[in-house]
Amino acid sequence: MITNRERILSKIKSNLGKEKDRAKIDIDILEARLKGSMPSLIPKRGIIQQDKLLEKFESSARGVDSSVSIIDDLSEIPKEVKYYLTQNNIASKIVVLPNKELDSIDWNKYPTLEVTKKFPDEKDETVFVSSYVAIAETGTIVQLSSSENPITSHFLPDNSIVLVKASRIVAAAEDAFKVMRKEINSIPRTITLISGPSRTGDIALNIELGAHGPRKVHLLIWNDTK
Amino acid sequence: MTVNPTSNNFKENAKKALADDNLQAALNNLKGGLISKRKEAIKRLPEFDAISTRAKNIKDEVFLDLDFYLEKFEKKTIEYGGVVHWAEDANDAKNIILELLKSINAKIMTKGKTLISEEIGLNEFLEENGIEPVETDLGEYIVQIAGEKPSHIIAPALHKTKENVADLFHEIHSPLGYKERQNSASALVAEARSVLRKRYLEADAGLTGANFLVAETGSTAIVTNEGNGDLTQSLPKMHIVLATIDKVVPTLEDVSTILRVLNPSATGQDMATYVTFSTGPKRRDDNAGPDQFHVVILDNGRSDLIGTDKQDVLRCIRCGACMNHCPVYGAVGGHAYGWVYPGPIGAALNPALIGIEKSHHLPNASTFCGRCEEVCPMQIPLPKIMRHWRNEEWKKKIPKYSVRLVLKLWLFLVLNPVLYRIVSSIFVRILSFFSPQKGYFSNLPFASGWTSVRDFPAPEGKSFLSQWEEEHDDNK
Repeated sequence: MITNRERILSKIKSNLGKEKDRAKIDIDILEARLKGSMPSLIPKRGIIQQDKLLEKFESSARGVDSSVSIIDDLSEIPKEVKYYLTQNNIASKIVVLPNKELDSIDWNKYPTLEVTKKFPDEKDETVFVSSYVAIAETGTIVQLSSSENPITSHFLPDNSIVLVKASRIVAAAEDAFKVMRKEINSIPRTITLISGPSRTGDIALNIELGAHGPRKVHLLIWNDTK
Repeated sequence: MTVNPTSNNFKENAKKALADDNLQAALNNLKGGLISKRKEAIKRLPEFDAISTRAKNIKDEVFLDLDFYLEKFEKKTIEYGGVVHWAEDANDAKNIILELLKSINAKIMTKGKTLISEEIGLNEFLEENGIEPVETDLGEYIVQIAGEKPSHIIAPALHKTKENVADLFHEIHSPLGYKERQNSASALVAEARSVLRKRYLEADAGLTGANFLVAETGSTAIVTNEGNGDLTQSLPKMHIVLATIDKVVPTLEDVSTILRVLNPSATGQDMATYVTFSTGPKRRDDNAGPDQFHVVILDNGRSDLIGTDKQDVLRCIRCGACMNHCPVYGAVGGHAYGWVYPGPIGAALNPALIGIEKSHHLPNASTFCGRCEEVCPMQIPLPKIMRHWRNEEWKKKIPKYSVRLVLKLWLFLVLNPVLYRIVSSIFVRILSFFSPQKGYFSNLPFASGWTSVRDFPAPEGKSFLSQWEEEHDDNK
């Protein structure tokens, strides 16, 4: 029996006049294309000098309605988080993803800040996570799903506080993919590029923040390049 | 069967739309919103035209070897534990999805925004089969609970004012415990968020569309602002992706290139809030994500366009810029077009998908002003394709006999210049003889279609040609 798959593919092939199998050289060219033989066309705003990355990332992130604070040392995190929550009238209660990187933060100095180490669910208001890399051109953070970083962590809570290492800020999305290809062997279930809080324009084209994902995104940039 | 079009009622639909004050108020939002935001975003990207050409070339290049890229995508998806299903038409796709849902005894399926599900009439089909589809994109949710259809491809509820939405939510959400009528947009958004949160958690399966299928990685990608697509595809135990054959691109970098023109054109953003690549089901030690990942690749007539002069229309990335800038769409809105894809892209695409017989008014619903082609980030020659459909319509003798007769007479006249001049000068003389003092006619026999809505200017006495000739003589 001829399957749908065969029917669709053979119709495409016959319309293209490619009923016969491709020559090896044609296949090699197509395979090379899939391996990145075509150089990317990155606009000027996405080509940024190393020493300007932090500054550009900060301004792009603010441009997409994220708030930003910059710290010089990991030990400043609890103070910054507490300050942010108080300033924004958010309950002093956060969920921190249980993973190697965030485990090194000592939260005990701020006993009024309630910290639970777990994966957040829909009842948790504020989550503290870290980003894989960040993109300066568009103020974007990149999240790769894993056993330590469930994708739902970035969508269920109302407020998302994200640790961004300055050394992990790249210029453009293409650079983020380059880092990914170098560092990981197998693509995760989800790669998510997040630029600011969730939003919608579906009611009379007015932009409202906080549609289904976080209403607020706060980026704590740790300047580890100093 | 695809969803039944009502495009043949375009004229009546348009008349109703023009007289609908509420719709006109809603359409007014277009001018200040999407059009000016797009302009600003393009100002921020001086290389927009060059990137648009690259984006166009990527799609053209893929279409030349479409079978290769689709097979590559399939192979990679399977490698990561996904399943690929091929659907030749709407019925195939609906049955594949129903079988998948039945296999896990699903009762509720959340949905991210997918135009193809509108094209195949998925919601109605699932309801008939005892499965509740829940739209989670706010615009889609609004039209679903209103029992309507989307009127714009990126802003499905564009035809509704804030007050309309407030009334609708009050009516539908009151029984759910939301007793107070909300007036502000932010409170309405918050209410929908709260209602839909419960639905995500109840759902057995989640269905999304795909802006891209990435051949290199076997990933499907969605571009959203609300985050509903991500919750839809991460919380239930099954994620189904519904996408058409034209969505495949070679690499992740190609996605990035196209995003650089898609986001400004669609919403005036440099980057959408969320771009998510999904590849296979959750990994063995993942704590979230679906157990099953299925991709349904739908053809539904598109492969017929490959290799033809209408292939260009498949480059469309569904940004909506053509309709935002179309004077006809801006006047009558999306519902008048009578099928899933309104505006210029609908006028070019719908005849290919549902047949010119069922959509022949659409390519005629254009002034050929060319703004659609000018703003299209994928450089689709929309007026050219509409002209092609007008020719098809003519060849198939679809227009009424009277219309064809008048056009044939006109054709005969313009092909005979001497006769044309004689006839036109007679008309001009008659008209100028009866010309009223005010310089225009408020009504004219046989032309009430024109004069019922606007005045007809009275000729000044001589035709352009004869005036030009006189001047020409003077110059001798």
